[in-house]
Amino acid sequence: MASPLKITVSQEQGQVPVTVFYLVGDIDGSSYEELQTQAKSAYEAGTQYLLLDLTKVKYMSSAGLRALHNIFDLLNAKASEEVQKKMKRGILDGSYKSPYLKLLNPSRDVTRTLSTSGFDMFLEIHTNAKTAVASFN
Amino acid sequence: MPLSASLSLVATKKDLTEIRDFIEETGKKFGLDPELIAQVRLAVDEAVANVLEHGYRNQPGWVEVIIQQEQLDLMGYIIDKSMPFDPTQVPPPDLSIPAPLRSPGGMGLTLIKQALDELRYEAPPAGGNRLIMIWQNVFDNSTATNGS
Repeated sequence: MASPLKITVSQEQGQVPVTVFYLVGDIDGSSYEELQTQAKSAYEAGTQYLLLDLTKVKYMSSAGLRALHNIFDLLNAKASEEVQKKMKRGILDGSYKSPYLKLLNPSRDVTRTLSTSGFDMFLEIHTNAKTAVASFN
Repeated sequence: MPLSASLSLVATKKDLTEIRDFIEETGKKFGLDPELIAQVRLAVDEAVANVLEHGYRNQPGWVEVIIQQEQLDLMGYIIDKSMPFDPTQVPPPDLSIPAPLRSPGGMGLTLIKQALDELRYEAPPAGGNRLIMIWQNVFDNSTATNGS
């Protein structure tokens, strides 16, 4: 059964403080804005590093990709011009992975959506929560 | 009898979950492979979301989804009464540009096209839109002849 999106939030301490969103339900055209809004609130409250736990997300549409893209841009907003230029070079040569936004345990269907759109090229995908939190630095 | 199922409703984006459930239940009734059901679900969800967002501009609007067997193929029809618009004519995003350097959004049609074999559009004489999705050779000859 498809289900509306619910988001719970926790703070974890790795090498740096990491905000974790536990997402339950589907990220679709009706729910992606809720994800963006939650991310914006967290960012405004000081979140710099965000892990999205997708373990219980069965379905994500292109609207979910739009949310990920907007959150990626939001978390990069404070980067200096020099860092932005370096990031762009890294994106173009395929070596860049976001240090601020990472994903945990996407399903096979969600992984396919991420790879079809090229999002797996710049977002790290983890399968273990502790390793994921520890990878932020 | 060929297999056929339809759902029509005055929808908003909140109804996308109901539409995906309809696809899932129909796919199981038709005996489709779970992988194919996931592809049909994605294509129909994206197409209906486009109609609701761009056709009806996020206001409630009538949509009909028909899933049916035609010979060996599985067909999906998305019918609506919004302003005529042919999504098959929309140029695809330039995928040679890495995703984070493109504008956010615009991936819906790309996901639809990779999820099916053929996408067609018709403008019904009475107005509105009819989007036709085709998955080829889904059924075997015995099913195509006898139904199930």
